[in-house]
Amino acid sequence: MAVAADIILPVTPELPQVAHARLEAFALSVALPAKVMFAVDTALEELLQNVVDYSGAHEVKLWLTVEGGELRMELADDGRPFNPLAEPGPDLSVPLAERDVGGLGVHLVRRMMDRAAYEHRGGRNCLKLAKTLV
Amino acid sequence: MEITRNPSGDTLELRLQGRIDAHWADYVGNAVAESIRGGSHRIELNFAQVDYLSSAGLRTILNSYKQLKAVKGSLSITHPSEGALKILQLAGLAELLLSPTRATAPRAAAAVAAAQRVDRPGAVFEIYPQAPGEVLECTLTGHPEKFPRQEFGAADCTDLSFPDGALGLGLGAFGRDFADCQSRFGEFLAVAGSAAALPTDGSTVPDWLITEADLVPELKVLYGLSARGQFAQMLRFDAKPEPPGVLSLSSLVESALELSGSTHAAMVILAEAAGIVGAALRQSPGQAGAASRLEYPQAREWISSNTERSNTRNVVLIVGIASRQPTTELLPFVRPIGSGTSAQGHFHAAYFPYRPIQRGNLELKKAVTDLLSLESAQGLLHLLADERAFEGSGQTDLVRGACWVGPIARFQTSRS
Repeated sequence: MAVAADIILPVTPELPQVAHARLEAFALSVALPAKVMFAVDTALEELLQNVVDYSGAHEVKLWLTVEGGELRMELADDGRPFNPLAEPGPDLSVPLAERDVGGLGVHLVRRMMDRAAYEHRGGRNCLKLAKTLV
Repeated sequence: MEITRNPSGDTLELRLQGRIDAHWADYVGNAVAESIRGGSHRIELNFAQVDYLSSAGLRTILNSYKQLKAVKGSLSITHPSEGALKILQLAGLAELLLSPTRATAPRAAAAVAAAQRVDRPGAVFEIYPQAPGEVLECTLTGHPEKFPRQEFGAADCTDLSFPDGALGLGLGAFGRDFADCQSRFGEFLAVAGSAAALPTDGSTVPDWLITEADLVPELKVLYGLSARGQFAQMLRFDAKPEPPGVLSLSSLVESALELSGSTHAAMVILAEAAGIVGAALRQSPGQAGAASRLEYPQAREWISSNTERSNTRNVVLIVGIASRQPTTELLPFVRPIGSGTSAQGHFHAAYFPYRPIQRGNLELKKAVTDLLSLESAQGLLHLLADERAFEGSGQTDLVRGACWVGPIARFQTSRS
């Protein structure tokens, strides 16, 4: 029996905090393990902060479910087409102390989640992410 | 997000509690920046109760890390929560930011031990001998007494060069000759192979010339004080925290004369300032009819008022000469410095955006070159003390910094 949350949020500077509160409520309702919650929390924060800062989107659709032994999350925004998964990661050849941490957020998303896929569909950026429940 | 401050020795621990996401990153960054302004150059961030850390938070912490590294300080994260540790590892920053144990942290203990500590009114000093026993040769150029009468002409214009090992201040300009500089004469200072002059042609920022290869800064000077030689001492000073929490320029000069045992001395001061009080010429005294006298209050350019001093931090580079018993030749060049010393002097200051100054023993040329390569001067002022009871703006107040001081054996006059 799948439990799902389907939420539409306006893009405001507080979007990451608002979405975090909704994620927490969802996590509570499905008794999400802390490790999984942490990974999803990270991904959501990084992706939504990008949406707030760069996308020009007006609204974001957030869909969450627990199904098939994993947490699945889908984010859809109506901003400029942008595939975060195609972004280069941080330049690891640069000495640590001098490294610019740009691109780090997306790098964290890829490393924290188990699966990720992007498509541009119906004028929206759709990002599907999954994290195995352990 | 809650931050608790927990100082211990020369290390400040900040205990953070909550989420460091994009929303709170600035708050954490500001708390660290405020601690650095407060003089802490070794900071530990206790992450035991940080249950979330985003890339925005990492960026802020990495910026603070770089700022402290630049002044040979340190920033490290201790006791990271499981989640924070994972993020640090994934970001490849764990090794850089996680503190080893405190016992193995590198310390500048040897350098500190070499310095003698002296408790003085308003501040604690550390004395670093530089060239003990050395004295400076000071040259007086021109006729400052002509200034109020606006009598400067081509005959008053002298060429002065300022190689490394020389310092100077006065009225001058960069240019070919008197005619070229006539409309631009203004305050200048020179130290460690670099020189700055504030042109009076409407510019608000000084021109700088830094020694590169064989090029030595040269100025056309109407009058000036210059000195050559090695500094006997460098003094590090830290204003005591109790009110007023700052060290006035006059108190610093008094201590520098006292600690170096000088009657006359040249000084270079690199410091974090809480307030700068001074004036800059608006019109060149080389132009006939220029009404450019320094008068109360019209010609004064106030940089800092007495309010909210902690928010008006700047870095200042001050060059000056002070004397307890000015000779006849020196008298036209000096004025009372302010309450706190009976000595008289002449000081010019270039000021820059705030940046922390490295602690311990500093090499003058490196410190000056580093500052100039990283920051642009925001202005240049002739420092004044305005100690009138009500409307006075007081005097230049410093928080901490370094003062290179060299006794002057004698003054020689080079008059055109």
